[in-house]
Amino acid sequence: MSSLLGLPILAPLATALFALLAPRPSVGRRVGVSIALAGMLGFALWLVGYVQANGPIVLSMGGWVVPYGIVLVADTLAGIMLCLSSLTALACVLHGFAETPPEKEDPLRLPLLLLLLAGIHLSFLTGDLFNLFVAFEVFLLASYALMTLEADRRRSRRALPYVTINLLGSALFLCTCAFAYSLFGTLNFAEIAVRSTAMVGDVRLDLLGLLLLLVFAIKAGLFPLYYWLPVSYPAMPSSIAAFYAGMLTKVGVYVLIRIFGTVLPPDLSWLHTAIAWAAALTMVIGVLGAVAQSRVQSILSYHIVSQVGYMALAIGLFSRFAFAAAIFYVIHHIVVKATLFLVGGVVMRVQGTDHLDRTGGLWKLAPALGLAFLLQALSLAGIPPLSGFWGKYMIVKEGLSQGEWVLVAFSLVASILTLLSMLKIWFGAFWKAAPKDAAPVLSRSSRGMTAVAGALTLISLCIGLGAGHFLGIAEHAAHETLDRTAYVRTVQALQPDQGKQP
Amino acid sequence: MTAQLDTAVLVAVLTAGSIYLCLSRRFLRMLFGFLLLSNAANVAVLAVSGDPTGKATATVSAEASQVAAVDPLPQALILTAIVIGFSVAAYLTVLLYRIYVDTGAATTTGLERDDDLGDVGEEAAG
Amino acid sequence: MVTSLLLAVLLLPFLSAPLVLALGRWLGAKVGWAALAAPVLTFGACVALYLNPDAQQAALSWTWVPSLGVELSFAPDGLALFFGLLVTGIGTLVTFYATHYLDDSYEKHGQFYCILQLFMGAMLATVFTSNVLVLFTAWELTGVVSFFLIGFLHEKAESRRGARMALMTTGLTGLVLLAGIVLLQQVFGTADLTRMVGASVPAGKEGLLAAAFLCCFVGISGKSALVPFHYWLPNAMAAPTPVSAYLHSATMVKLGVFLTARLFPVFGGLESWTPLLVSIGFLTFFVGALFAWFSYDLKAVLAYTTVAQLGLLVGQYGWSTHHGVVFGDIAHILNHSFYKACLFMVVGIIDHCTGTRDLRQLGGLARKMPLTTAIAFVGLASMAGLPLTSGFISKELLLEGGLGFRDGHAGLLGLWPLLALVAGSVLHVLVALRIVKRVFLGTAPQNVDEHFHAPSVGIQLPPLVLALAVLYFGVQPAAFGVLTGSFSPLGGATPELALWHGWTPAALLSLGVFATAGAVFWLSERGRWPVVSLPRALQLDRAFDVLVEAVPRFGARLDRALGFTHPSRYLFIIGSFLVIAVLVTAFQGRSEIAALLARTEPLPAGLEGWTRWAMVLVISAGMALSIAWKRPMPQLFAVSLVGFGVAYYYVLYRAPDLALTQLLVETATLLLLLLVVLRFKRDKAELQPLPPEKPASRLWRIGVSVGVGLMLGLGVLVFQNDSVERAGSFYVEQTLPLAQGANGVNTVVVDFRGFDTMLEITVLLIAALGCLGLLSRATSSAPPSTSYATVDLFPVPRNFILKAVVLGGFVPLNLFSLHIFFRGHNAPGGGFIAGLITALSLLLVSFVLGVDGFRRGLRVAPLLLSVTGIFLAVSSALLPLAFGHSLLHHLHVTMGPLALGTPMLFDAGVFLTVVGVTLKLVLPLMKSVHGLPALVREEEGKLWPAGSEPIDFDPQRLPVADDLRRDA
Repeated sequence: MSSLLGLPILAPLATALFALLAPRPSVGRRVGVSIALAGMLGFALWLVGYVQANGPIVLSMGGWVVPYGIVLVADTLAGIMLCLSSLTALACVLHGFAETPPEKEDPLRLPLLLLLLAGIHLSFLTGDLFNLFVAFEVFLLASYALMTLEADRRRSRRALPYVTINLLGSALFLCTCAFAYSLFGTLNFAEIAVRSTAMVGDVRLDLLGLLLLLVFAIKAGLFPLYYWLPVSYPAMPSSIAAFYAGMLTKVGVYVLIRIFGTVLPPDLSWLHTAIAWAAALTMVIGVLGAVAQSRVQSILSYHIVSQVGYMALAIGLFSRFAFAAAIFYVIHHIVVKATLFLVGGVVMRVQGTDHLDRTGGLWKLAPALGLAFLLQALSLAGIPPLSGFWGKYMIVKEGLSQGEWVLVAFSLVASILTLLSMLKIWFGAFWKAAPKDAAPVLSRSSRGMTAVAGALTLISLCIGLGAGHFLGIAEHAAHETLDRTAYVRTVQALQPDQGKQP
Repeated sequence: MTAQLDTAVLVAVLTAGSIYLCLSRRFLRMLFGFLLLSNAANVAVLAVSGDPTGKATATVSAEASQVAAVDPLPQALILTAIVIGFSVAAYLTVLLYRIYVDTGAATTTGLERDDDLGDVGEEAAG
Repeated sequence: MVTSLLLAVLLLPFLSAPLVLALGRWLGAKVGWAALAAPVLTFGACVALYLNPDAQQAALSWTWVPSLGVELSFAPDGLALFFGLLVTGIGTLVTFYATHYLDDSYEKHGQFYCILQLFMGAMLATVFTSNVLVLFTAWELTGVVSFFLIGFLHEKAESRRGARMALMTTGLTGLVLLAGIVLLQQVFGTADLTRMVGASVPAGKEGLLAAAFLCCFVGISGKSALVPFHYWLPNAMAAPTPVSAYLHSATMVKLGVFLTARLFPVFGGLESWTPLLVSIGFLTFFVGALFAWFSYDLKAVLAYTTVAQLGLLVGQYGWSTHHGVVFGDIAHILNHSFYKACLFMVVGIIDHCTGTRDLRQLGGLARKMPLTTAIAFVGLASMAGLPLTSGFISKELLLEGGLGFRDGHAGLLGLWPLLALVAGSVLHVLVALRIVKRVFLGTAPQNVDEHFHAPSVGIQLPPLVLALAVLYFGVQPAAFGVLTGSFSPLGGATPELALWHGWTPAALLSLGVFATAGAVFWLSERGRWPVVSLPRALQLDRAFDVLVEAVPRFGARLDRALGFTHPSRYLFIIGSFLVIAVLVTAFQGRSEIAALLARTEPLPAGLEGWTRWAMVLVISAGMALSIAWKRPMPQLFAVSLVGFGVAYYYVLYRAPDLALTQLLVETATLLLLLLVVLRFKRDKAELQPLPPEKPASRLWRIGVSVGVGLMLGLGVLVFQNDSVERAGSFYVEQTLPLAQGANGVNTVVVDFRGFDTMLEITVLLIAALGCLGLLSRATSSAPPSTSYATVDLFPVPRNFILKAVVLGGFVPLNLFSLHIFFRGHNAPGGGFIAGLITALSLLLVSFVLGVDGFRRGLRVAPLLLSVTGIFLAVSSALLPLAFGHSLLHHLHVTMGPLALGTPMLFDAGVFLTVVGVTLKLVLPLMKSVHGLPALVREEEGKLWPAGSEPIDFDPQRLPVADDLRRDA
């Protein structure tokens, strides 16, 4: 039963290897990969239901006695993230299929995407600090590789900041793991949770918390560590960029939630305040950057930064309600952001560019596409009753109830500026008359791409209108995440296999 | 008790030097910087295993030995870290080489010139 | 019964919207008639609800987001019914009007009516709901929908401008309103309006309530275009006229007034209530009227008078807490909606028939379109408040209210509304007179004569109906009173209305108003005062545009200021941030840190200590050299010095496995680096000129690097914690009994934490794939057949002896690696080290044989090797499941000396992966730096769709290279 937890990692890994064994891209390979991803999604959905009903599942790799082996833990939050990542992956892969015929597809794209997925899934499931480091390396290296795989002469350079900054981050993370081990004598999350509670007030705990925060802030793209993001994302093929936009920074957010909610004691309030203020700056500066851009993908990339600010703000407010807000916001954001990037891809496909000076007339030509974009854009700007509103509303509510007027003001300013920049795209690509020289034309592939984006739009529409249901799940997840004693109990209650303990 | 000042100094020196190189504008110097940085991190992990003076390796014999062995876990972590560092270093090497081939620039200042993504399909053939 | 009626009211518009959209496809302009159904039915339902005595009992409620207290609850009270009737009634007329107005010169009729219906639905939801959050949702929905209607002709720049202005303004104020609503919930602990009304304010929450009121008022001002948000409404006139008549005069802009009425019972008690509403409201009334006088586009004129009226309506609520206020307000809303919608429709007709709305280019329409003129006169009369129109009656009420307020309040506050009322009314009369004179009287100018065509009867019907209503209520004030009173949500006695109250002060005042206005108008016509347009300073819409345009520029400047636009600067920023953050924290706890540092002793015991310090010196020297030396080759040497030095340092730390691994990995890395360095040397890339580094930035750089160095170096000492028992001791004790291996490090790697290793070799594979992607640019065309100009980078001659040595050494080397592999579990060694040895020996061979020759000799593809390796590892992880053990469990089969088992299988996997990956990393690079395609012929067909070309370039033909040369 609990061995199933290996599936989210091993299944993509195995699929990737099989894909490598059949290196020539073909319809068959595509079908296989799609089926695998759909299966993943199904499994993840099942997992969420099961975990909600029966509590978290724990798996000790090799059946070793806790905390000496590597432990995988699947609670509701992890389940949710698994769902989102497999959903996004499936959508982006299908979008890519619609975009390029098999004979033109790059043979390494699918394998690398799957390896990336394996790494991401591991970082959702792992209950071990060093294993988290390894998971990060897996998905980072895969993401480097995927980013430069199809880059042309202009684009290859765009990967450099992403790679170098993350190398810095990885080195820091490795040292932090070492320090954690030397401080706690263990790498297991549950064990750290126990031992760190006893250490509250020790300056070393504060320092460690800070180091972890810095490491994950780089991954999440908090101010001022986000430089790599808006530079590198627009340089990628849209379907890949969509997956990155949806998932990668959110891994950082997830780990922030996990580490500060479950692993480290809640007494590090000064760190939470720091997160909140960094988040506030991130929101505003990110969205200001977005307004300044004139390419669809660039605007959207800057938006990721500013949206991550929202989630981090919720984490920084640090209460069960705020965590629920953060988790709900993650759910909303991943779907919406991926869709927007996919729409951007269609724009690029139809008009040959996503530079807003050379686009236009799409609202007349492709109303379906326009509708998808509009709904998601408004959702991003937090217009009710779309999914983006509820997260924002909860954050405002929590912020005001904690008396954090300034932070709330920041978030409201950010959301109005978001609206402004979305209007920029809307006017530039959709409402403006089509450019004289380059009139856009719909092709079969662009219709297929639109269909994928439309499907995602429907999903996020459901998230918005069915907010009651999804919020319930998010609150459950937030409750679990913040209930450290329960987490420790579940992990330590795990029985080792025969002959796996002295 | 802990007599690891030398290791701390080593870590400090390695890190400082490698960061200095990382901040350089020439590709090769950057590259060397990141290589050495991973070494520095590894040594930092090594230091965690505690002062080795008078301890045995982590290879134990069947009969119980008097000498305490060093902590094997940091070493195991380093083994993983070395391999990962190697992969990353290899990738970075090739990436810088590729960027050099694409842009003809071997310095980051060279990259600041005409940094605009063209439109789909159009290649900057120069 | 009533419930189902209510349900019908709420659902009909939303249900018909998609229908209309679909029908629009083939009905074209005719779809308007189909669209008429929904408003008519909804209006009928509203009337039925209104006539139904127990309508108040009707209530609908579904839970939506329980945890946030959001309930879809609706209840038809007087206010809701009043607005419901207004929205649906005017909606019917407007839709009818639109069917005539939107002829075939327009596009996408289906879309237009669909959005119109959505708007109606949103309005109805807003007014009928009793949950503040649902109210807010619907409120925002009306804003979004109106954005679409304003921008309906979106290919015109002015439409887009107006739409953006409206959306941004209402959006911004809407956010503030949201904050207000949240605060309101905090005060009362509920989102249900009906429960708020009853509840008393909890002690200590008064401040919150006041804040909530301020926020809500901002929202109200935004929606109802009160000063200072009045600027968006005139620009919203870019919408087709039916929209202007519906949204921007009769219904949507009145939402602010509606919300004021809704929240009146909640906030009415606040002392900030009266001053705020009165001052802003009547300021808006005066400003609106003044601006109307300043403008000459008929729609703009009407828009500004609308602004004025909205101010009036909101301002009235400030007057007193007397329920008569609500009564008067409803009366005035009714009156205003009648005549303003009517006038807008008239303007639409004029626009349609003459092709212009500029009252400077119009004239003499009285003779050309008598019926329209008559309608217009009625509307204008009501606007000016002449007797026998509903306008007169509501104005009398207003003036009385104003007089009453003055008696109640001393000082300017008391006087202000009255003054504003009088001045504003004068201006209204003036505007009305001007329109009559300039548009209808006189003779028609050239352009009108040419373009003119007579309006159809149908298009004049809706305004006619409204005009008749104005007249009817004007002469039947009693009926007007009864109708109005029936809506007053607070019930109570309604003041009876009459045509003539005798010489009351109010009557005198209005007489004075007419007199002054007449006099001024006579003067202005006599003196031929030109129609002056609004002074620039007062045009807030321009200011708005400037602001909106400034934001992007500011953003760009900010990005530059943060230095994030320079590829060579971001690492500085991030590095410094890390350092500063850690330093600040460390400074907080400096005393404790000092205490922790005090534990360290400088020197380990005896010779060992000296050796370690010596090694530190050697390594540091290597570090220093690699910084000091500028040429790549010597640097490479220095770097390798560091690497091998570290390897020896591992030995001092009792870590033979690490030492071995480090040695081999260092060698492999060197090989890779060497290739690139040689290539750079050939192209003289390292000589590329650089602008000299500024001393400041150099200092900064040194600071950052030293900072990070200290950070980690001290971290090593500070984080030491001997009071905890470590996991490590467990592994030492249990490696033999539990993992059947003497080498603790190896058992941890392949068994206790085998999962890490499995992923680590995956990382290796990924790296190989990544490099492959970088080194071979896929081409859709067949690979170019031309032979590439290659340059031999290797200084060493490939002579016979070298070949002999290498090939001779090959076999023993691999025997050794085999040995290492098998002893791995119990002594230093293992799959990884063995793999590297084999790989390096193979690379040596490839070096002497040349890549292609070697690859042809090597039967199996390296990539396949590594994939197989990982498969082995994964299967060794899965195998135990078959035997009912858990994932990655070790199965052991002891055969004599060596313990075979899944760990062994696992290690074999590692071995294969390492061999494959190392080859796959080095060989393509080796080819590429020589200017060849990365893949050998056999692989190309398989790994790339059509083929791959060398990524190589001719340095002469690159723009960047040119610039650099110019710099040199």
